[in-house]
Amino acid sequence: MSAPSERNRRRVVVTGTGVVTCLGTGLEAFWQGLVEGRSGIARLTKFDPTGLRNEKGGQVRDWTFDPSGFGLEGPPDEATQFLLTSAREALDRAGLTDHSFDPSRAGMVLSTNFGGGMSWEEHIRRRLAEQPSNHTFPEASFHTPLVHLARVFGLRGPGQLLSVACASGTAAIGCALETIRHGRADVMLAGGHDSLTPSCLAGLSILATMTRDEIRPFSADRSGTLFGEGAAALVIEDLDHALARGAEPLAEALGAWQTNNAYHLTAPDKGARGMTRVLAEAIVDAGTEPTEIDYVNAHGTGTQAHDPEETHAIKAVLGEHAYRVPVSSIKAAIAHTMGAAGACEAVATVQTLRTGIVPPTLNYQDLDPECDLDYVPNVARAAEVKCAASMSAGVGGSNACVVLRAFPPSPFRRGAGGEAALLPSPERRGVGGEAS
Amino acid sequence: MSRVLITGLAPISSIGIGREDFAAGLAEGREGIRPIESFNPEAFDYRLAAECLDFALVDFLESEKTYIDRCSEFTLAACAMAFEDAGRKPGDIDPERVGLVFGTAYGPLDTMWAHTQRVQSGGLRRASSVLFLHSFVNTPISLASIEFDIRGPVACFSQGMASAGAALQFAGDLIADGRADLVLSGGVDALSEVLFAALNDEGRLGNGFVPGEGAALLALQSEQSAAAHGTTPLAELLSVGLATEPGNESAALRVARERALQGAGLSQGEVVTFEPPAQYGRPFGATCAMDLAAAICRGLADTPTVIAVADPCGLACAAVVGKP
Repeated sequence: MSAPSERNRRRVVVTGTGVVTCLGTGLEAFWQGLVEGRSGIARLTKFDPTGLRNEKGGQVRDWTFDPSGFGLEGPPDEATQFLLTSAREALDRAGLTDHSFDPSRAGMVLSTNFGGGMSWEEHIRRRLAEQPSNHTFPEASFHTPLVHLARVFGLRGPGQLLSVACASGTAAIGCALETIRHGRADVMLAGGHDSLTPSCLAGLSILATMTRDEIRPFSADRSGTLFGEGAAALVIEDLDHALARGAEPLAEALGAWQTNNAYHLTAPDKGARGMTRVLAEAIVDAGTEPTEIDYVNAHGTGTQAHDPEETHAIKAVLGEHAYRVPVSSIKAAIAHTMGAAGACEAVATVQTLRTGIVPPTLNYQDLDPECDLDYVPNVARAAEVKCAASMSAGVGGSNACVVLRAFPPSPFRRGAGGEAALLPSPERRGVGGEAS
Repeated sequence: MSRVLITGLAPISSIGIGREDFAAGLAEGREGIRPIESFNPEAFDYRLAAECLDFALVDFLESEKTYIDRCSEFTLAACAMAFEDAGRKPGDIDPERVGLVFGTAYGPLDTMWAHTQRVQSGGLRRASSVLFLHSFVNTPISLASIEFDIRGPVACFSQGMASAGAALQFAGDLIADGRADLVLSGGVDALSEVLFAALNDEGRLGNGFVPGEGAALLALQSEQSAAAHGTTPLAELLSVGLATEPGNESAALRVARERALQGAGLSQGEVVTFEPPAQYGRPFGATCAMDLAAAICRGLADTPTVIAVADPCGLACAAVVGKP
């Protein structure tokens, strides 16, 4: 379907990132929150959460959205608002919001679990009340953000929307990488988005994966996860294209992979076959070696079942090297943002590659013999990270992984300005020593 | 890089189920568009659709399912048929080298509705774990991956009428790049009162658009895999192009077609365009794969054939298929 030399010849980089989470809007709020060890998880206020297994979540607070600022006549669905906001930031940081690019060579891969969830709720309410609207169902439909983003940002290259549950955001980055490798586009926006709705949280609540307490990834006393909302976007770009227009690569996208456990809709497979294979194959696709992985941004949901299996997968692929690699989950800071999770975590991983700071796993308390890696407990840490893997898994047995590398391959470029300026001062960030 | 061979077809349509029956339905000119029977359409001015009234999952699976959405039923049945039509059984090929990539415009919409309505009417404690887990847009492919032990890349694309095209592009790349030996790919969507009402609200019914339903799945194999199993290919998938032209269906069609031809290294004069029959309606996210199946069943010309499908919102896909 495309010439092999074309696919293999191209190097692909990340040139812009944007994010909306419960830590705030924008990369600066996100990264500072992570590095300072803050959590944005709190009692939900966007609707009455009474009756949920846990009334807390990673809600985007004080949210305002001006449709006219995006050239839209009316507000799109809330999840699309998050996506539009993160996409504009990513494109702006990449220097692409002035439309100074060939729109036919700029596409997107978007991803979500629940699509326009708030519009779906409204669609059903209105239908049952016999007050139908011609707006709610289109806004609920999964594909509609493709149309909004194409219109707002002029992205007229290949557009795709995929959904593999909570592995969606990572899978989208892999799909964008493949689109560029195959020469179908020079620039791809990869993004994930989801919003918290009563029906999605009620469903997640009924599953035993939601904790009644706090989310504590990899800690012996972990009891489940908490869910959040938001969006993240990454500009994925052909290296030559980026350099030709004077853009600064933030990291190199080396490789990606997807697998399925073929085992159970919610439970991880025994022996973590699917997660093991997705990490191993992503490293092969990246053309690197397991011993070159310096950091793993883990899916780390904080459930009893998942965390040991993910740990097992990392150890199976990295071997003894796994014990020398920091592994952290940012879900106790931003909650599990579902379809946005993989994209948020990839943004964090890019930041780690740029700054040499590993975000911590918050709420970590006690060692679990089955989770015996270095999870960067509670405090961010400086570490030499040249190459990193970001892993995701989701309902339905989906697994996805992306491997990123510092560009150029040195993480300590703090004098370079740009996003490096986002790094808080050592006093503010409470950074620990080098990784042991 | 491998050629992408089509070694099996699994259509589930209003005019026939399975390759032979579907081909016969095309040849005989069976009419699949009829007054709606699966729900009471009295609330709507438009009352025609191409429903798969003869479909029953029990015809395809050994075990009965306690709960399953119609969209998932179509998916499971299509997977079973695709394996069989390609002359393969699950497990014949390393499960980690088998993929499943589907497109769907709406997924298990009835179950999404049932889950949400239950919560809205009964409160947050009233959610049903069964309904919720079967309501994800990727539930159909997840159930199929479990049923048929598919452990390679499994993905679901949702982009309106262009959904199957997006799936086929991704799936074709997996084969071409050697990342999988066999990928089942195509599209699926189920018609229901919930969807019909939503389309009615949008004003999409009538005006020449006849909703359909079903699934169409293609078994894609690498040359090496097909040869190793002595499989005779039905056709070759040469290229797929995607386009996004907001609100401009005709422009999207044109661009998708141009991209597909460019991907295949062909010019306009080197291809013929497939005109899909009206018999099976437009089965939403399955449309591109259903049209591909129809083109192959009717017999491909010596020159490659282009199949193009667009959604009114401005998303489009085009596939180029040729004799193997």
